[in-house]
Amino acid sequence: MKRVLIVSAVCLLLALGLMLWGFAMDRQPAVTEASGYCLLLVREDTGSDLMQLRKGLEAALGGRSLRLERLPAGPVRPDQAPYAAAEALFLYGDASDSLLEALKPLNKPIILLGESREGYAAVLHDEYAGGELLGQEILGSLPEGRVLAIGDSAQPAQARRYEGLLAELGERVLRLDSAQDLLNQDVSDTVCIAALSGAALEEMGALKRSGTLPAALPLYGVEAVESRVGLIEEGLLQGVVVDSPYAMGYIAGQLLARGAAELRYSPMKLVLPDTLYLAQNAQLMFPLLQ
Amino acid sequence: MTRGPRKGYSLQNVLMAAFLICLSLILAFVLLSVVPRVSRMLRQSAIERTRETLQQGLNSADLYVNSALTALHYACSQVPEEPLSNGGDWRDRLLFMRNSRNDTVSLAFFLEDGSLLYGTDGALRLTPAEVRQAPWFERALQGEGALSAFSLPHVQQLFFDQRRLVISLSRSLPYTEQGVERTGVMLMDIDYLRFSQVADSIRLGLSGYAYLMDEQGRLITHPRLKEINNGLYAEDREAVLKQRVGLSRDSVDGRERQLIISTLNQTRWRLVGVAYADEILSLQSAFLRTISVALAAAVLLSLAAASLMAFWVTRPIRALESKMSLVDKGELNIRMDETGFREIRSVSQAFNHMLARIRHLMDQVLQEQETKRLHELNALQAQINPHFLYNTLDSIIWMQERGRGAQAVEMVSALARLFRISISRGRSEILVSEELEHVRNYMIIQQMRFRDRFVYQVDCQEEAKNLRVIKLIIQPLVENAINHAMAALADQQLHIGVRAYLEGEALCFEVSDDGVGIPAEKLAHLLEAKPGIDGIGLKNVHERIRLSYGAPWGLEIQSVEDEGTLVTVRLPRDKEKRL
Repeated sequence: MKRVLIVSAVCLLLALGLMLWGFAMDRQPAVTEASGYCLLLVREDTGSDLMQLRKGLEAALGGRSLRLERLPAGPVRPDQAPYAAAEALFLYGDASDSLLEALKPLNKPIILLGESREGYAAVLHDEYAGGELLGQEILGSLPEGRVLAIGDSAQPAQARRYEGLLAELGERVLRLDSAQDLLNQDVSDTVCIAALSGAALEEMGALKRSGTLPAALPLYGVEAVESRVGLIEEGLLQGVVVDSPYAMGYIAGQLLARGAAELRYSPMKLVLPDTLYLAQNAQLMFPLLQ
Repeated sequence: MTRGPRKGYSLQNVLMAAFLICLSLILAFVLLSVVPRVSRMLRQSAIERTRETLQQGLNSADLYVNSALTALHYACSQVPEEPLSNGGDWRDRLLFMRNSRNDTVSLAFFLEDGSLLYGTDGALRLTPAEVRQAPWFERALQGEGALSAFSLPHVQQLFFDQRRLVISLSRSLPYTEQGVERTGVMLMDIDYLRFSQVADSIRLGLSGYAYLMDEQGRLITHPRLKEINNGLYAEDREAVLKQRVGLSRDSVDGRERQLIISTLNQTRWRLVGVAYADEILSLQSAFLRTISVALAAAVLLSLAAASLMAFWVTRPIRALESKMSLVDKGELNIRMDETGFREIRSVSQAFNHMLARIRHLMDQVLQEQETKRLHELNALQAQINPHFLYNTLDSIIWMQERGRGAQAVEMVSALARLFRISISRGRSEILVSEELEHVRNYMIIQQMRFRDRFVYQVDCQEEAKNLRVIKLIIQPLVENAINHAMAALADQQLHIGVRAYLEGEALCFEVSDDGVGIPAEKLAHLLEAKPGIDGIGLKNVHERIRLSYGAPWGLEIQSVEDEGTLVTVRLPRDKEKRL
């Protein structure tokens, strides 16, 4: 009798527990808003790049909220709001050692955007790939001949672009530090000019407009700003490699989810006159449209 | 007597197993027949619901496209046949039309040479030649006024100071210029963001979405278009391109997706609904989960019910078993409750009857044993009957006084041998030879007492000598013959014969005399007579024989008046046939 009662009681309890557990799973979980937020720390809180970067970051973070915070001129007080309550910190444009040291006690994930540091997750524009894209376009569309690359080798980004260009074009490339150096060159045997910085491109554009450089000489460059559209529309610029702040922000959000201190590169894109107005390039070339 | 170990299966466990097997079969039937069907129905229903949702989206998209085309057609209808020579009313109507639709960015009418005749949004930036080379212009002309051309999303660069992401609708429009028929193009730009809402607003489950794709697989709208354009996400369009309408499946990040493909009528663009299987089939999953939980709980409940039921059904049997164990240990004064199932009640009743019968039989046996002992005791008592002893001792004294010492010794010896055999060290059975010796000694004594008033003869078949019989069964018969037959014969000598022989399966003793016999009326009730002072009686012997050997055995008395009496004692020859 005792054994039967024990067996029956155990079975009943197990059945009851099973039903409670099973049917409880059918209940919709209460949708709770995420209480935490991520912090995007910037020096300048304006600009279309920042807007796109923020959109990309928000898209990758999903339901988590993102707050934009301008870094103070003085030292950062990590024990105070909004730093203390932030779940993660994204630094855009300013990852100085002192700032990183100040934020370290927070013991929160810190992801760098546009810069890299040992031991930190970071996202950089793939400048090397950008140089490669330029090189591939020049190879595919222009005849054999010299290519003049204008860029400051001391600048890391320009140096990377040059390396990518060099990887594609090899000995065809001649690097010059400035527009002045270009003017000292005989460009008659030059098939095109590749400006490795935005400033250099502006200078080249101006030289072409002014007639100092032949208008027919193909010009390729970097950086997507509104003025590039005008150069393309005027026929003075044959292609521009642009980065995507949206992609940078999106990849940074993915890095947070991965939780690894790794370095990732956001893709670059080559925009040509034929593809300037396509919707897939609209965000890059006309960021204020969306 | 020790019992051996219990063997075989417990009835309770067998009942429980049988119940569980039956239930398992039922559950298996439900599982195999009902669950897959319902599960399939839920899946189909979920997919159908998703299709209906997408169909509604498709209808909305078609409606929107139709309204845009209608608007374009209406715009075309506003342009007079000779627009160059006509006034501005139609221009005002076009402007009004642009302003009345919140999705219309601009309306413009281009002449055949590509020059802008009228545009709602300012001066044209492109040259007429560039306009003529624009894809929307060329495709409009190809439609020849019957079809409108939809462009892909693009940044509209036609007009100064205006950059909008739009989808352009264009249609050729014949007009007359100085009597010459020409073909111009009406262009209507629709705000892309508003257009994309048509598909982006379609929600299929929590994460599902819809997108538009043209016939070359180029995306028109997609909720993740930015990621796709940046190479951060990819949509597999190859499978979708293979069909215009239908279902497909793929998997992204380990999640199975249902693709529902349909086509917009006007543009032939594909509207692709992407629904995540784990969301739209949540009802199916919940059903399977619920049925699994329910079945598992049912098994557990059945186990509990089977245990209790088996226990309840077998409880009276166990009670029966328990009481039978008590009976086995010797406890006979118990009674089963005659309640419960009919079969159990019947068994209980039979058990109680059996116990009562056993008790009765045991009482009977005890009583019989008691009677036997009593008869034996009586027989022993008869042997030491004071009268017989007194008379015998008196005879011994008389003989001694008369100088008959030898006879006295013989009588004493016979008396001693008589009592020795009577006691027989307490045994209840003695050899036939000893019983006959006992009778012989008795007759020696009586013969001396009664001075040869009777003669006797004792014979025994050789094969019968060593058989065992209950003691003191012949002497009472001889005593009876001496007391009754000799008393009636005044001056005649009585002849008494005692014979032991085997007859078939029986051991027989005969005690015969040639006395006066027994009257018939007395003979009939002779075996019912009570023991008298002079002997324990024929009845005593007869009952003792029956108690020991059973009913067929005992005394048979034959008597003829004035001729004699023959008393035959019949006993079973084989020991096994004795009680």
